[in-house]
Amino acid sequence: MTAPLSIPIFVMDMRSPNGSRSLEPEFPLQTFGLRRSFGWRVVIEQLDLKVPAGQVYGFLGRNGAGKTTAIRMLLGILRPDAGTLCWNGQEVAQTTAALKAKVGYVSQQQHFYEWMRVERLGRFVRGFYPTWDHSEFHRLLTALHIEPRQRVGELSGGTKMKLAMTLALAHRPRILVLDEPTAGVDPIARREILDLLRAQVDDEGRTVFFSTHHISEVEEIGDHIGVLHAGRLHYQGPVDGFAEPGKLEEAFVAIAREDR
Amino acid sequence: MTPSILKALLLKELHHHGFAFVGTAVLLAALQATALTFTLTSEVDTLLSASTGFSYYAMPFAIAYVVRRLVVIEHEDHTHDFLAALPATALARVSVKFAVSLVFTWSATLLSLGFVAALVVRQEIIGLGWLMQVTWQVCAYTFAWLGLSFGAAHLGRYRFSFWLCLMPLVFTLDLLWPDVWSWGLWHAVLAESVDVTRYLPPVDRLAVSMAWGTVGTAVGFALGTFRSGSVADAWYRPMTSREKAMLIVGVVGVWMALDIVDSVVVPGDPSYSGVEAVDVESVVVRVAANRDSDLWKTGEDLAESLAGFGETLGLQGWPTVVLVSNPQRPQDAVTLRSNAHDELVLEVDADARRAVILRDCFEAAIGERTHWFPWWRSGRLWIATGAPLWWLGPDPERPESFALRAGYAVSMGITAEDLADGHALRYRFGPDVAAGIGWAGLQTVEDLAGRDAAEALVARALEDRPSDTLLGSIRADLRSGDRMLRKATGLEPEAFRRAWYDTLRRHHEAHRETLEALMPGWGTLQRTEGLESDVVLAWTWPGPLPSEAQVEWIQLDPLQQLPVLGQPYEDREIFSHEGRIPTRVDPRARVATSFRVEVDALDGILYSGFQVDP
Repeated sequence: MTAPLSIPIFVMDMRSPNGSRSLEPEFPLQTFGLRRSFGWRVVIEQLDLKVPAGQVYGFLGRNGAGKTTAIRMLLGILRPDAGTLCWNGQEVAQTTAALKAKVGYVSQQQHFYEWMRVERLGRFVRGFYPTWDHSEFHRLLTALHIEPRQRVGELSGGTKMKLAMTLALAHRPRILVLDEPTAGVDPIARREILDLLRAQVDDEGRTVFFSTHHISEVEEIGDHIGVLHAGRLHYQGPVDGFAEPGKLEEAFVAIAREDR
Repeated sequence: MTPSILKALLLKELHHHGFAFVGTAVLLAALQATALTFTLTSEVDTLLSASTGFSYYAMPFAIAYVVRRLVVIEHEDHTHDFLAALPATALARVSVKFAVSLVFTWSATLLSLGFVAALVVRQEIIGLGWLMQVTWQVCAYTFAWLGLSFGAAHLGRYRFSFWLCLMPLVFTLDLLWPDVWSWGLWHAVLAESVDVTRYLPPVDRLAVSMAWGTVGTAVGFALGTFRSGSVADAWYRPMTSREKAMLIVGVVGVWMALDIVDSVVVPGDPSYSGVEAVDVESVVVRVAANRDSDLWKTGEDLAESLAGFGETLGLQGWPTVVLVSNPQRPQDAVTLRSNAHDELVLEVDADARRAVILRDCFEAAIGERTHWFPWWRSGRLWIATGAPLWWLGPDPERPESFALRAGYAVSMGITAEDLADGHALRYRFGPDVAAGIGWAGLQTVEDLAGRDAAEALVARALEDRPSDTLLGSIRADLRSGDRMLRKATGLEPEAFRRAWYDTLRRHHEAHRETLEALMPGWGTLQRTEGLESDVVLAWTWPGPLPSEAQVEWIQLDPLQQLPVLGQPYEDREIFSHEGRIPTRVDPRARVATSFRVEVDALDGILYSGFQVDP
């Protein structure tokens, strides 16, 4: 059994020397002191995210660490108790519908209307996004092998996740936020999803922020990593700054044990 | 809230629920048609009132179904999470759902109402004004239910507890403050038949219904948009066992508290238990006046009369009578204020003659014993109505008054066969003359079979009380007037009625001149074209107008043959002057009219009976 590694807690100082916010354009998504509790239980405490443009940011944490709550706050589905968010330099207390329209979001579980066909679902979602590209929607459906005439209720879990990604990408957002996109999907679909995410950054120049509890996924496609444990951000920075290649898991386990 | 987002949400709701909502509307229409076929056999209700009555009961269920589909299922299936992730504000989401539910509710209501109105317009008089009034009544009613349902739907797992507490709460409030709460309920705007509210639009209740609906809607919007709707969504998570237990305890606690309040509170009028009482034998008469007053003396007379009557005839179980003075010169000497909780509260005109007050109170007390008589057993009604007069006798100041009442019936053409139906007698001659006819009947029994036989007959007619058991009810119901007559007096009914008619004729002969001078004739109604399509009713009097002469009229619907005697028609008006009735009626309306004149010699009121035009 290896001894726990000593992990430097690296949290960026988000304030400029004179105390004002540092709203840097190269970080399309930033948060400042986000906090959220449910009753007496604090789920997210002092979350200061800084997602760099044109990179894949892996948001790593164990189950129950608060990843989904954090992402729901980023998307304005939950309102933070405290703190602010900054989208492309625009600081807000809560993500508005207009800001949401510029983000591609894939939730952890897909609760689509099961009675709709894939094509109708696309037409429904189109109404919410001014930048929606229906030909792109169909191109992605074809690329991901989704039948447009099929009912949503008949799709497998993996196909639903791919459909969610299709919907998130069809309006050509500059930033993608995904909540555990590979949870519960088969290895082939997982591979397709990860490749697609990497391609979004490499080919389209988009920014990808995705949460996961699989360290290998961050290692595989991530440029940046944020490690969330018990509602607090323990590390944020380049993946290679967190641990040496191949030792990400040890570092992550060390954080979890240290905090126990 | 861009138009494209609203359009997308709207189209989604229509695709999702359109078929179900149209199906619901069709089902409502089918049930409506069924209800109408039942109504066709009714002689009292109009078809339009049956339609609104149907809406009264059916629409709350339809609204609950609609709100469940639009709001509840969205949370239960977690599709709300998907909607919340889309770039639409919570306000847009809630607004579209409310708009769809409102459009469905009002469309279904108006379609149903329009369908019925179009169907029955050839049979009933449905003016545009009335139809508009019914429309806003029904719309306000459904809006109130929709608002409440919409608000409750956003309470998530607490919505059932809300309904379980709200319903008994409003009934208790209604019990505590009937004057305030009887019109303070959201459904009051349609609680009465629209036939009744036709000429008395419930405008005050409209505001109440709209207020309930608005508050419910506001709660729905507040919860649906608070923290982007996440609170309402969180309330849809399943309850923990602890929460379930606490909620059950809470709801049961509320019920028990309300039940205690209900059992303690005496509803409606104030209690008179503290008012001093005259006790004679088993009769209790409470008098809300000091011992030196005329009212107190009347109370003593009443208690003694009732006690003597009860003792002689072996009748027990009189209600406690409460006499309250009314200084505002009411139209009648004695007015029934309430008869709940075995307490008969009577308002007395302080200036009326004591003999009249005593007789009217006595009649009211006996009426309490007989008001439950089934109408199809009207053969024994004359005994109950004649008994007070027969027992008390006429006022010494007006010794011929009862004989004049009896004789008046002959001058109006009564026959021996007419005497078999007590209800018909009341309908034709009014309660005072009918009582005089009954008095003559008991006099006839006394002449033919003796005083004891007459007392036995009255006792037998009045001893029946409403039975708690089916067999008891059937037994009481089988005791017809003729059977009672045979058993108590040994008289054969046909022969008795001929003798009774002879008694009436004797009274008529004895007072022919007085009776001829009494009534020169009834007034007439004239229909004249009004300025618009209305018709104005006017009435004239052939001779000198008696100062007490009054006309009352009722606008009938075609299915209604005659007004029901004693039914509180809201569109009945009484005027004590000659000339035009200052109310216009529909030109196609059938109008029932009657004239009434208070005649001192009869110590009562003469009725013309209802005449229906055309």
